[in-house]
Order: sequence, then structure tokens, then C-alpha cells
Amino acid sequence: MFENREAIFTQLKDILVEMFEVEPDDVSEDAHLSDDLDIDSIDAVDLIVRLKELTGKKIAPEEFKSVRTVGDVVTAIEKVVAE
Amino acid sequence: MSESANTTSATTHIKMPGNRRRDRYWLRLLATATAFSLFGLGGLVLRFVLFPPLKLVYRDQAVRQRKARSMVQWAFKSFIGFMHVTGIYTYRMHGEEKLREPGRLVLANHPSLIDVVFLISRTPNANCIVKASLFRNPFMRGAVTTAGYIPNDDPEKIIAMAAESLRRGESVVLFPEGTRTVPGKALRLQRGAAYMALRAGVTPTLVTIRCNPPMLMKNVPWYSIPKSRPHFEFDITDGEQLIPVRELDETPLAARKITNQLKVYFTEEQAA
Repeated sequence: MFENREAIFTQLKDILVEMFEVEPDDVSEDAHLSDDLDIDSIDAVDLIVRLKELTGKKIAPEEFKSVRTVGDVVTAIEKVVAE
Repeated sequence: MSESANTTSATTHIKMPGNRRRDRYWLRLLATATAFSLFGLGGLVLRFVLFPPLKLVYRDQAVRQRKARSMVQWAFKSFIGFMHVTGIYTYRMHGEEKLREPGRLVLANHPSLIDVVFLISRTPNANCIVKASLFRNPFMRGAVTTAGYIPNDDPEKIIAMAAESLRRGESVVLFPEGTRTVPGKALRLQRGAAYMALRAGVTPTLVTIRCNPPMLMKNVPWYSIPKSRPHFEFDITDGEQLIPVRELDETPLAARKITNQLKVYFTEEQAA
């Protein structure tokens, strides 16, 4: 499910579409969470909760502090899964 | 010949009302300067004269907070009255009694600097969200903590504290835009207000504020007052019909839905 970067991206895209009703076409690695997808910090809290459930790992909110784009989230998940 | 003269005078006539300083302009300017000084002075009096004894008289923190808020309400009411009698503006409120019911989430658009003063002057036991820097400012810290206001630092904390405040039966006054409305620009609402409504299960009370001509707008210094005397209209309605808060769970999608309904409502009402 989270074996490589591409798989993580696809999974994340589905989650974003489902949770926040963003347009699937708008989701790219470069898409800016707040400017392009209108995902705010409260959404980010919900997103982290969801990712915790899916990965079964503990995710410290600090790891998402510097996250700005979808690609950043993918990188953060990569790190969490590798731990 | 006479025709062209007529045209000229007609154009000047049309132009005049907008450009001429009317409605005792200089008096209004003087009154505005006085009002700003009074506001600062009033803040100091509350902070250093009226608030400190509260700590001694009322041991119970909740009671003390209530008293502090009623002092603020009284001060704001006097301030609004001062600005009214000195002719800075005229105003009218429709449905004001709705603000007096306990536990209301009062949401308003935000055309001018003094909107919050108007709303708090009519809302008993009103909580509001203030700049977090005031909680670190040695002059202001005492006042904002005594009144139990909410610092605007962490969004999740703001929502939690506001929802708790509503559950205790206090009212929360909030501008969902987070900052003053910029005329002519599309409204941009933050979703915090929707989350508060969902979490506390409180249907928002909606206040449409219209100010014509605009005064104390964003990015306009206090001394550049309008050429003619502004009139404020406050339309206060219950959001029950518009926003079915109690039927919804707190999810990002529900928050988006409510925020969008608020945006449509305020966009339409503002233009009405």
C-alpha cells in the first residue's frame, strides 16, 4: 500500500479527494496544499489522524510542520513508513 | 451657448455630492480623533482602575470573567453612543434582541474597524478572539486574561476554546473572514467558524453589516474619514433555516459545506 513513492501518491490523492472533495486533476506533487487545494491547518490535523490509521504508525504533528505541497506530504509518509 | 453652460453646471451638480465635504466634515474629523483617544484612555482605565479590584472582590474566576465582560460591554456601549451623538455616524439595528440570548455564535461580515465594538456592546457575556500578542504584552495581558478572551495563535485551540465557551452558555463573536472585508473583492472565509458551530452544536446567529459610505476600512488611516456621514445597518438573523448544524457531524466536508453557505449568505446580503 505504501511500498513506493508512486503508490503513496496515488493513495494520498484518493484520500484528499474523499476527505476534502478536491478535484483529482488538481492533485500533483507540486500542488500547494493551502493555495491550490484549499486545505488548511485544521484539515491537516484530520489528515494526520487518517494517515495514522492507515499506516498504523505514530505520526508526530511536528513531522508535518514544514509540509507545504502534496510532494512534501508524500515525503513525510515515506519517512514514517520507513521507520 | 446657453446649452453648453447648462451641461457644465449639470456635470458639476452630479459630481458635487461625492467630492464635497458634507455633514459637518471637520466636526466629524475632530470627533473621530477624540474617539480614538478616548478608546485608548478607556482601555487604560479598564485595565488599571476597574479590572484590578475584580481580583479581590470576586474570588470565583467565572464570576470575575462575567463582570469583566459586562464592564467591557458597558464601555463599548458608551463608546458607540459617543460616536453616535458626536455625529460620526448614524446606525440602525434590526433583530438586536437575538444577541441577548445566551450561548450564541455570532458571525458577521467585517466592513469596518468598529464592527466588533458595535457587536460586543449588544452581546452580554461575549467572548471573542484577540491577537495572541496581547497575551504577551505586559499592559494588556491582565485585561485579556481577566475577560477570558481567546488568543488567536493555534487554529485547533481557538476552535476548542470557542466551542467550550459556547457550551458554558457564553456567546462568541467572530468574523469568519478573519480580517476586514475588502470591498469589491470576493469574500474569503476561514473554516474555523463552521468547526465551532459543529463542535458545539450551535446554529450561528448571522449579522450582516453594511456601512455606507464605508468608514475605517482596512488599509485606510483613521483620519481619512468619508466625505459624508456614514450610516451603519445591522441585520441580525437566526441561521436556523440556512444552516442545519445539528444534523451534521464534525467532518472537513461538513465544515466546507457550512462555510460555503455562510459565504453565499454574506455575499448576497452584503450587496443587498
